Amino acid sequence: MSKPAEVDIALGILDHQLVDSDGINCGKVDDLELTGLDTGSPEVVEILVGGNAWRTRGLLGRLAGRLAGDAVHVPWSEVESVSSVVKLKRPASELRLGRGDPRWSRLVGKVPGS
Amino acid sequence: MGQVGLLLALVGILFAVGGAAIETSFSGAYNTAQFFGWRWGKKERPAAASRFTLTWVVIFTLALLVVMTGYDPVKLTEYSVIFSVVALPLTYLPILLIANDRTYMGSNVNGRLANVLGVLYFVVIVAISLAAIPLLIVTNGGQG
Repeated sequence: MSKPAEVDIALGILDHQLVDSDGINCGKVDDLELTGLDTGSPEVVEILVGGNAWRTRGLLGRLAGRLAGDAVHVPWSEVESVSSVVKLKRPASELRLGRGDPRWSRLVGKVPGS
Repeated sequence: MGQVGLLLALVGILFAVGGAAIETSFSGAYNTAQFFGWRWGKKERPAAASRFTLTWVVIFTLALLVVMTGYDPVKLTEYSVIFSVVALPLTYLPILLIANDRTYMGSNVNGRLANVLGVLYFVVIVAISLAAIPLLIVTNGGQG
C-alpha cells in the first residue's frame, strides 16, 4: 500500500473481491489471519480464500468448507492495494488462486465457439 | 394474415421467451459468480469463465426441468414474484450501503436527501415484504 490509511478490516477488506496482477478475479477475502492479538499490536498476516475458511459461516459454510478442503493462504505481503477490491501483486496461478476455472474450462471448451 | 401471422407471432414469442430465459439464467450466474469472486460476464470467453458459464447452463436446465413438470406457468410466475418481494430488502439494503461507501462511489456517494429517500423506500419495501406471505394466504393466492 502506498500510504498508511485507516481501514476497518471487517467492512473494508473482509469479503472483498481479490484481483490478481493481470486484473483477473480470483476469489474473495473469506477470512483473515491475525497475529499479535495478545501482545496488543495486532497485524494481518494472511488472507484465507475458499475451502475451510468458510467454516465459521453457519451450517452451509461448515458443509461447504468440509467439501471444498483446505483454504488457500495468501501472505499479506502479496497485497498491492486495497480499494473496493483487494489487488494482488502477482498472477493468481502463482498464489494457487483461480484454479477453479481452468479445471472446468476443458469441459466448457468442447462447446463450439467457447 | 392467417398462417403467416401466426408464424410471425410464434417466432416473436420464441425470441422473447428465449431471451428472457437466458437473461434470467445469466442473472443467477452473475449473483453466484460475484458471491464467490469468480471471473464472470459476457466480456470473458465462456471457457475462460468456465464456472460462470456452467452456472448459467445449470440454472437454465433446472428451469427447463421445472417447466417440463407441467405445472401451470402462470401460477409458478405468481409465486416467484411473491418470493422475490420477500427477498427484496435483502437485495435493496446492500445497494443502499454501497451507495454510502466512498471507496466504491467516490464523489458520487449518497448525500443526505438521497439517504432520507433511500431509507423511506427501504421502510416501504420491508412493509411490503412482511405483508407478502400473509396476503398470499389471506387472499387465497389473489383469487379472493
